[in-house]
Amino acid sequence: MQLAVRMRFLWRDWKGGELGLLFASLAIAVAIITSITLFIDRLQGSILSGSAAFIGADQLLSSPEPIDALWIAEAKKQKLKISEAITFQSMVFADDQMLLADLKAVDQHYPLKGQMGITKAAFEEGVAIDHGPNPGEVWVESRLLPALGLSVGDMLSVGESELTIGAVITNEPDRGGGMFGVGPRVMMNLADIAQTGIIQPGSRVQYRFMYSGDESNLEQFTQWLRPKLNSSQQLLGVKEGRPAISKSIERAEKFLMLACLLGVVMAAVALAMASRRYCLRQYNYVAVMKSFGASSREINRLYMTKMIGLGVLASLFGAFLGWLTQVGFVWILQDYLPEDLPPAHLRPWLIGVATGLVCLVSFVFPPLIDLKTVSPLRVIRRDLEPPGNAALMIYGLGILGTFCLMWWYGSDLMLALSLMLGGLAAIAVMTVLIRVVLSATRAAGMQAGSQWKLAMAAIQRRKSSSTLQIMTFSLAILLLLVIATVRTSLVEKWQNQVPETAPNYFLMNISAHEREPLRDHLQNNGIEPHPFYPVVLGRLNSVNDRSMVEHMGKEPRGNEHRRALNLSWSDTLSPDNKIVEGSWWTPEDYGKSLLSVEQEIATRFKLSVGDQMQFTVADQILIATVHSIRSVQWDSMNPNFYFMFPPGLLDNHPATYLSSFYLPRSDKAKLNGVVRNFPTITLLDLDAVINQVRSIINQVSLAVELVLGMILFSGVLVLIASIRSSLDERFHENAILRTLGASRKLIMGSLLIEFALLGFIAGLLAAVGAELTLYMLQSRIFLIEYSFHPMIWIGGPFTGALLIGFIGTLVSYRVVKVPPITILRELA
Amino acid sequence: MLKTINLSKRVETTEGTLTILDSITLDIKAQESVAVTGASGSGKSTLLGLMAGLDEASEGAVFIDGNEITAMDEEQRAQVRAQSVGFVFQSFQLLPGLTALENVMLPAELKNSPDAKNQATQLLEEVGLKNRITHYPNQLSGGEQQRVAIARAFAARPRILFADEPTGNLDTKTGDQIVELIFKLNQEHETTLVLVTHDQRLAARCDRVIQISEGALVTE
Repeated sequence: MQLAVRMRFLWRDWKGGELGLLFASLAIAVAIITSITLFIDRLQGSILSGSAAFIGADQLLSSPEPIDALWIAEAKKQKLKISEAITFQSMVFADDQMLLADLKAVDQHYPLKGQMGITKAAFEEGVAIDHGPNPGEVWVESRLLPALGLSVGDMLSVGESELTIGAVITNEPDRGGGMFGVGPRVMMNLADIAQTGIIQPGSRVQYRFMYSGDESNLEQFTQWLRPKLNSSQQLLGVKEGRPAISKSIERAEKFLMLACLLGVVMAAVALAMASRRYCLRQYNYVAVMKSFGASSREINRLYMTKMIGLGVLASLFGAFLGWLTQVGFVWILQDYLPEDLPPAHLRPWLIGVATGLVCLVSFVFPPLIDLKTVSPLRVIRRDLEPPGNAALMIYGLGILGTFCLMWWYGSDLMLALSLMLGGLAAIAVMTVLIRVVLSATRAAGMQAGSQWKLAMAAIQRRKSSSTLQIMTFSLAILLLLVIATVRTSLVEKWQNQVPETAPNYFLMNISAHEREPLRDHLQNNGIEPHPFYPVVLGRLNSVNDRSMVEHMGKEPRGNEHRRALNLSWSDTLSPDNKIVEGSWWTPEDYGKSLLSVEQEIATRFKLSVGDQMQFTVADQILIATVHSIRSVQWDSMNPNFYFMFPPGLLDNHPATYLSSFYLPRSDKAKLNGVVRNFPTITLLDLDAVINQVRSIINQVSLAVELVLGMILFSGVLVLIASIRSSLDERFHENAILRTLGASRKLIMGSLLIEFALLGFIAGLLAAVGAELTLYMLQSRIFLIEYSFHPMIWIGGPFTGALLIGFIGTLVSYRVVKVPPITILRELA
Repeated sequence: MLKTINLSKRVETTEGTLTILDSITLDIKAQESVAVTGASGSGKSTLLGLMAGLDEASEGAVFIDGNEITAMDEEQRAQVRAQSVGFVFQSFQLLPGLTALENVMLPAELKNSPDAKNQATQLLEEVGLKNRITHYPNQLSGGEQQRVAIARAFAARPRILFADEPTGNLDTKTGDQIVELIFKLNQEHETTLVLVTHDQRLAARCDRVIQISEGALVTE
């Protein structure tokens, strides 16, 4: 048979209404995944570029020596936008007063990503501006002004230059990482640096080379650059720049892809059912064609071609629909989304179309295998069914396809395996449970009225298909319950990470004798500071008597092993810290040579409990044994330390103190008093950083809500497909009942009872499954504390009864609307 | 044209082997019309299925045009059906998703005939359904549906036409019209006709009547 003829057959099937549900299910599967991946891709691009603001560029190279001119030339050749800056510490002067400041000299391209925030007076709201100071001027951090008794417009001496204070800095995009800077920021133009005469050979200076551009150019340049770097030069990308943000993104990505997967699995279930129904309805068609001489091979080829044709069209349509939905999302949410949402990559399109093809092969093709075995004798004997040898293949391919999609989307073999095995075990347990519940309903139905009797009889008569249907409904309801619950707890958890009153100011360099007066000053001004943590500076020398390079077998990443480290001590473990190995100290351990190490640095430095670490603290050697490893929730914005010691060990060393507090924006003027009364302490403003983290969390939460909406849609599709798959039989039975004189009310009533009961049982089982799944997901995958979910047990059965009862009755309404003779003739 | 030798069909049931057809030997000549009659469950339809190559025999042989179809596999039998056989069924077996024209085009399309549409239109004209070609089966009466089925049977340009109770689902008047049509087209297309029927009047129109009882040939 020629291709054109086969396509004509496809067109006829379409016209005849046979392919609607199949097409819709496939298109929806593709649309769900395409729209969500397109949306995530664009949102992620925007989140990443927002995060890029944290380092002021897409990539940042930090180096103690000047940047090689060749590298800059190469970056220009790769069409990257570049910016250079220098940071160093120096004294600044005003009249007879001086202060140690963190200076930063930037060029005219700074910042490449993010914006500066400036204002005209200390501690005032700032406005965004996309460049740094002009030559001849300096911009300074608020706390410098009261400390030196200056205001905007005054002159400030930097080295041998006199520069005008042009503005007060309220936000500096790449300041986020430098929390432990000592002095207030003074920003100047790179062109003025030579005149100051500060930078001499041997000066301690950090050269910052920032670059941004197209992803492929960036990647190419970074790969070119990386091997040329020495161990003192550090290259930071967006993720390395802000570990707190990259974690939020990763967690969100994991959740969204999982949610996507569940959506696609549901659409696939709908697809498998639609395909099965289509094939059942094709048995006669095939028998007639075979009686006219079509061979099994031709039948096979005809149906495969038809389905490939349908698959390609549905996938393309689905991808288009997905794009349209995503455009709709962006349009509806324009007020909440950043204006410059970047365009999507090619990957979402590929994922969409590939999903369509995987679904086609795994869920549509398998039932087709039965078609070629349909006997032509069926034209005489309608009751002849195909041998059904393909069942194993049908389920096998379906399971394999689902597994492949799970693995692919989640990029996590263990997650895919546990979901798959859990799902299969659940199906086995559910089959048994459903049979038990169905037997119980039979007894109940015997005593009920005629509508009930009819409904019970229908459920009992179709025990196998009722079981399958309850299982399908149950799966759909289970997924909805799981998604809705995980979403709520995940979103809440994210938002609680940075609560409204998260500390937005850090106080550092507090000397021991300033501690009490400072606390009193803050409390008198209505500010409640968080605990004061002692900080002792120390350098790491060796681990187990071997230098870091010997211990690691190579030069360690980062510069923590070279620079002065903040060591602290505490008797209690912070609530945002968790012991992952070893144990926290007891009062008996106080004064002993022990320490607790943060998990990430422990992994990076290959440290485990029992290792001996040697530090130099104020010219004395300190040896301590690793007693525990802690995970730290860095995005909590609370003060946290890599190395913690028990009380009593470092008490004799000179310590400064560190604290933090929350101050509403409207009370910012109070900071003037703090800086004036305690001029030597360092005050850090983290408002901008917190706001950025919060806006990212809000965007991610929004994406989660949208995904839930899409999944609800595919859940309803599964329900419709499932109900439609039993429709022929129901039409036939009810047409006979109506012929025998049954009233509309009786039939509709029994249908409503039947579907609502199926929905109730399915909802009850879904609640059991959802509770178990949530336990697994929360405790193993998302690492959130598990809690019992009473709403699921109420919501599951009642939503099931209402939803299935409503959709079932609606879809079956034709049973009483169309004259019985028409139905009997159609199904003859 | 069509020959059976000791044709038998047995099936295994829980109560042992059931013989549906027992050693049927027949010889039907080209362009002959033969009626197979018998009570319900006598095995008429099984015989028709075997003769048309739709079913596999337990024993014996069937020859169509000298080719032993009982020695062929399903693929080869399909080829013989495509080349030589046409069918008319009691329940019409029209495909509900296809229009009258598309139903009639089906056999020619299976053979990749380039002229399927014209040929089908002409046949529908011959059966008097010129104005109904775009109608779907559920928009046609029983008699009209059977006319479409007859047109479809002749679209394959068969050398043998098998008809299984072609008037079984129709009232007497419509049944008579259908019978007239089958015999008219049979003559025009010079086809061999084998029909299974309860209807004695229809059987009487045939050149020969074969009666079957409990799977065995009673009279010929």
